[in-house]
Amino acid sequence: MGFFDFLKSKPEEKNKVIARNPLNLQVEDIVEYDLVEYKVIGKLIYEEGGYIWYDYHLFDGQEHLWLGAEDDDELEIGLYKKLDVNHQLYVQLQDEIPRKLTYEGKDYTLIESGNANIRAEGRVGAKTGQRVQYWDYEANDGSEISVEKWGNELEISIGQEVKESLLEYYPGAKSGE
Amino acid sequence: MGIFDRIKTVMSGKANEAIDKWEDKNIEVVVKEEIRKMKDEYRQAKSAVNKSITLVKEVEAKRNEAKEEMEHWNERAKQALEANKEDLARKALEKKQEAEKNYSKYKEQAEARRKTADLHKRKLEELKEKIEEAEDKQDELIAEAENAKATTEINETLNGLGNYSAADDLDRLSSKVDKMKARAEASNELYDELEKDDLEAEFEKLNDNDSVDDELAKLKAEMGKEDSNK
Repeated sequence: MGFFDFLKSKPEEKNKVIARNPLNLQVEDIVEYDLVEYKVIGKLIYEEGGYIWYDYHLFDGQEHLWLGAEDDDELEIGLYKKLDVNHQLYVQLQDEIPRKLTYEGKDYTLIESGNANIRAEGRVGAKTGQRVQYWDYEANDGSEISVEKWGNELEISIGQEVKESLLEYYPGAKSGE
Repeated sequence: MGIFDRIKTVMSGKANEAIDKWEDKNIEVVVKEEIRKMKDEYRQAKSAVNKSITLVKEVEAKRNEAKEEMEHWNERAKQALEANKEDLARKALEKKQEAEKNYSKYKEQAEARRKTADLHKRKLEELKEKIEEAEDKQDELIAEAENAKATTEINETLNGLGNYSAADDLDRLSSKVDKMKARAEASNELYDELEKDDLEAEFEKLNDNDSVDDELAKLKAEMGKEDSNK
């Protein structure tokens, strides 16, 4: 049976598949970036003063990544990797959050901070109703450092801005919003 | 009839036929509806590709697990030999071989499933290209169909198939002009008559004035007064 025969042989589905974009991805969707396919295994929805943004937990079978997306005048997308907990930056940021910091020879400036309410889906290591404190740093070349404080625990991620045209989405079983 | 066949029908100049089939439907609505349906199918197909990639990932996870197991038992066999426990080493190697069999099986399955997933992705890409092509040609399709519709209407007019004819209007207009001309001529005659009447009245009036003067002179003479008009 050919691919399209397979499609057509299926009975009409109740819920039509909704086209995906970085603001409506669902757990079980597949995101392809730079020819690597990642499964969305978790989703965090941040809310602060009516403003909403998203972090998706991606896993390709070996590597864990986080895809951040927010619609702030224009769509901003970043791909992040959690920094190893033994990195000295954890010690440095534990007591004080500076305006500027250096990581791997690059200077970063604090560009945004605040407190957000969390809604959690899938594997994210957080629960709906939790609050998180966050600080976003940016370097001149678009590199980003995201610092989050969950209770007393710090989480640092290193990221890079991503062009939406390089992302491809394959919707999973969940219908989407 | 497939989506593309239907759109191609319009493109290949069979617009009239297509319009007949779709009756009174606006061709623009029809073309846009077809593209929308194609996009629905595309999203559905993407969801199917998600399934084929998921199948690859599942078997890849099993393959990686089997590989770790192989390495684990190989390490254990080495440790047993180092401790001069050959029986234990043999058991560890048996476990390793079991894991190796699984590894080969899952590796083969992963490769086959990857081929299928890649094929599905290629098909999806083809579908995407077709949609883009249809969207690019959307205006052209609509214009061609509208043109065909207009041509049909013009032909019907020229063949006198309709009840209305532009020639009737020309006739009507011409007779209207004739009537206007006739009316204008009639009004000219009337004006001439009126003008004649006016002149006569003037002359009559003039005659009336003469008789008054005569009478005045006569009266003056009678009264011994000199006539000032003389």
